[in-house]
Amino acid sequence: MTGPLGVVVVDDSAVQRRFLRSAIEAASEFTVVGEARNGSEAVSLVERLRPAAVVMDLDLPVMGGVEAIERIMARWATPILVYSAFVGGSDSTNAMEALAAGAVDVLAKPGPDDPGTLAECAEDLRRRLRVVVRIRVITHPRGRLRSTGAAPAVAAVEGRRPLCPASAAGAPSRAGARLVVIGASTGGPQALLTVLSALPADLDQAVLVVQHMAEGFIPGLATWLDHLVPPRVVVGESGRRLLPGTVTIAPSGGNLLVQDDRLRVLCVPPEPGQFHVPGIDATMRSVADALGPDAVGVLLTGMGRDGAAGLLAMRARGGLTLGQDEASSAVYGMPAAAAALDALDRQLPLAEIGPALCELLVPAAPAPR
Amino acid sequence: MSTPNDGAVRAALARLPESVIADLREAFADEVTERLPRLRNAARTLDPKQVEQALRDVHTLGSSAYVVGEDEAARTARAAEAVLVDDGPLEMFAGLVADLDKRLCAWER
Repeated sequence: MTGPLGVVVVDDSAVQRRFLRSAIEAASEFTVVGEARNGSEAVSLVERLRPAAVVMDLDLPVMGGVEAIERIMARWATPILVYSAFVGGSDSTNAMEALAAGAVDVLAKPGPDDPGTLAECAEDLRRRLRVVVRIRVITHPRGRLRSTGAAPAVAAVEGRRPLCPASAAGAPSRAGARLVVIGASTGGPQALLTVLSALPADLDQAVLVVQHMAEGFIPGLATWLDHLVPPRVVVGESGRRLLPGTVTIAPSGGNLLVQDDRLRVLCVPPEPGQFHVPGIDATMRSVADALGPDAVGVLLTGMGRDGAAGLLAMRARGGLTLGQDEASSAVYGMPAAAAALDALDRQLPLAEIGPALCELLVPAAPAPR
Repeated sequence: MSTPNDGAVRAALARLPESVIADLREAFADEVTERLPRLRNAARTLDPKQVEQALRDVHTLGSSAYVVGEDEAARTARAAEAVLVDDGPLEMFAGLVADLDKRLCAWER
């Protein structure tokens, strides 16, 4: 019989470290094996203790959380759950940086105006930790990642120049499509960065993203992506239309539905019992109804089944559907569920999805005479 | 003004084991004792270096105050943090620190 899984907690506040220890050790399968007060101590503890997971604040003295994550993921790949407070979305962008550096999930520290109680926060922490420790992580040196195409060359997209190398998708052109809808969950922010970086700023289609994410982090995700990918990135608002060449991210708190072929969207409350909000299935079903064959659906890494049924509805209406393959998925849950439903036209490695979209969506240049 | 003894601990906190609550309160008292005097100085002098450290102090105190049930102090600290993050008027920051001082001074050792 194996013992409890070791967790390292990182926070400069002794109050937070004590709370985290109490919350984590309330589950018998976990034990806190080390506490770090700053990023430098965290790196040393992970090297020495090799924990099953790390729970990490970002706003740390000596060495910040993002740098600590980069250093840990470069040498001792460990699932890292970011546990961070934020004000006005600024730290939310920091959280996106942490995800890009290799952290696998983010959870907001609670405050007095947040819904829920401290006990519920502790339960949420344990629930996420149970998911996080099961995620397969690989060494993730950001510099190497940026230069190999496994993730986008960030410096290359300054000025919003298109990066659109050809890649065989093995499917007929969809240059007439109006919308690309992308669903993602665990591991999604990094995957979205990779896919969206391959799209040109003047894409003829609108792009709609539904990313499962803790309440409050969506604006930060949009801001972060907007700085890094060629198309504009905005948060969706009820009543507005999706625009060509613009990536719209579904907001927190409900489902974003496409109402008609003019691409007007409507935010509606989640369905009773709906586990993930915003929901991918709800959005993709609305896209299937509104656009039929004039849409492309993509399902990226994530735990669970959300998106599989929606993608099947899109495929049934003639839409093209792509899924991320197992080898490149942080969690091969949602794409696997879609594959099991026969909802996918193609499964592709993450690095090939963006180029495949370009090949499918961008009209071929006329041959020179 | 709330104090450590005024029963402001939320029901959720009360569900934690007594030993944990006692530890959290001890740790919070240490944190207030360390950080509140620095905040007072920063608010009095508005010296840029002290204000830079003050951002970390109000950030930490804001999160920690919520954990021990000091909700109003947590709100005040978050508001002070927001002023610094948004480059708001430092006089407003000083006023919020004075408010925070009233709410948390009873925790100082």
